[in-house]
Amino acid sequence: MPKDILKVVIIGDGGVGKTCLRNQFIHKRFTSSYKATIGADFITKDVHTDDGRKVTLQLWDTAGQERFQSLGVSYYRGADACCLVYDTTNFQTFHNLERWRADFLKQSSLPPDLLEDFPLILIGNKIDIDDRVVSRRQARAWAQQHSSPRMEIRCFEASAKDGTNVEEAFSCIAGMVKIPQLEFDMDGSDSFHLNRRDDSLRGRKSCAC
Amino acid sequence: MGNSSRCTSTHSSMKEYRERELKWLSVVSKMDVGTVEKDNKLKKLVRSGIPASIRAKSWQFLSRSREYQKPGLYKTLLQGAKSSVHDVIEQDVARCYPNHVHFMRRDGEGQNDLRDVLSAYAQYNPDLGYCQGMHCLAGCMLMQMPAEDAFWLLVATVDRYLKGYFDPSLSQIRIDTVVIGELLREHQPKLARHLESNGVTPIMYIPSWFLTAFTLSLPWSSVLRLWDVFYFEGVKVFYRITLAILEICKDHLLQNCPSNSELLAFLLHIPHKYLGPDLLLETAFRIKLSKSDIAKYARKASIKDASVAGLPFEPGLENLKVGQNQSTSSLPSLKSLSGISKRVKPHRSQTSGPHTLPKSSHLT
Repeated sequence: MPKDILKVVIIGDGGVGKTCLRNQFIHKRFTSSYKATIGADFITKDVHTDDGRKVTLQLWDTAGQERFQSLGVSYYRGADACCLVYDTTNFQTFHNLERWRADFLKQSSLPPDLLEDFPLILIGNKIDIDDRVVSRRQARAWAQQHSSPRMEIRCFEASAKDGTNVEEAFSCIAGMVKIPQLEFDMDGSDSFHLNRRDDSLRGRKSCAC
Repeated sequence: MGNSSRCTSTHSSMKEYRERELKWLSVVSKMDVGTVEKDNKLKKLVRSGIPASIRAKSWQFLSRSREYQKPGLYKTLLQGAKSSVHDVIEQDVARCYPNHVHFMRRDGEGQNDLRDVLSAYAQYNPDLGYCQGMHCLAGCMLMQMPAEDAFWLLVATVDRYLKGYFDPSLSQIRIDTVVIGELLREHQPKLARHLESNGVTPIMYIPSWFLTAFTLSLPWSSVLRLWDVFYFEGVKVFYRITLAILEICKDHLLQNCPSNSELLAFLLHIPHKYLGPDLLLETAFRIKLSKSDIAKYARKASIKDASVAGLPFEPGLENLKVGQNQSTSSLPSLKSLSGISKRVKPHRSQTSGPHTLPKSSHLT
């Protein structure tokens, strides 16, 4: 049986920490010596569901500079979900989410009736830095404004540096796509298991931030 | 074909190294660059690697970066107002070759020079400004030469070798991804089918290869050897190296990468053991590839391919004129530049003969 592949695209301004969030999720570590992503980078993580299915998370990490959005169509096509990332210490990166979201939906080649319900999450990175300029209330308001009755945009405040909420955010998006009511249960190996739990991540009304 | 000798310091190779060093010293100090470009012996010499001690001078010589140089302008540009891309530059300065001793220290000399070179460039060519990837080019130059020399080499490199690649529309890289697709179908039909049927297209890996001049993808010994040849033969080398990488990795891609995920994970992070300089360059120069084929596919893409239709393919054709068999030296094109750069007259000290490109250059 072919395994399920969930394609998740990570977008947002340059320097907000897209690559670091991804690396924290995959490798459980943070390094300050990272490189700018040119074009797109790509990494996969195999996860197992409790009914024995193997699911591959394909994380597409994209370049943050605006001009690279002209390449976006080739990276966005066929995406199952999208992580919008901003920097909680830089208001402009939050302001630009509007443009990132619109551009993603425009270039994703989705049928118009699916656009509204497309799975998105919001991640405010760098909460380990005591210099916040984007409030939780602002993030929640943005998420609510862009949610639809069938698709609530969850928002997370995270730190790629100390790992806060990173696992939760990526678990959430994996759950939103195809396999609701799941959590990641780390077993220390390169893959980990998805178990059912009662309080579905998808069903929650409140934001984690 | 290169003789695959390397710049090592073993006793047996020392004599040869010294001979090549002397040869190169004589080339860059006595010869005319237009003559050098037509010299097949020198072409072979470059393919076997320029001695490290002469590398900086050779790159400057072959690129004609001195022709662009205008005394005092670099310092003037640095005193200009911060450009709108200042923040983007700042971010990339902090993450350019973060493990290299020259750049690892926050606001150390390497980072400061890099910031200066990129900021000065954004002032010099405001239409282009700053595009991610240029920091990798400038960083590699700064490992070889002082900041002002690196700046002028960057100017020459973007203007003579890589026109259109860093433009706001990224037009040339988008055209090239289509061209590479065609070349791959022609040269490696089985691999091309395997990649295509798994939804892997060149736009997924070519931007990170071309826009950084392969600095993030190849082992460093291969990067330097590639840059040596690039400055002699031009961007055509990028297509050669691309086909060579794919040829070298073909068996692995066909046998061990059955799906989109495995293919991309491998292509975007190819283990360096596959890409050592001797095998890579030898493979690259064994491939039969003509500039006219590249030009043909670029024209075709610009007309027929929906993803790039209407984008200008002419800058790419200009890039292909660089290198051997060019009948005259070329006048640096400053037409695309605006603002301060419009007042810059190229300073010619090393060239002779007519300074215009031939109307219809013979592409081979």
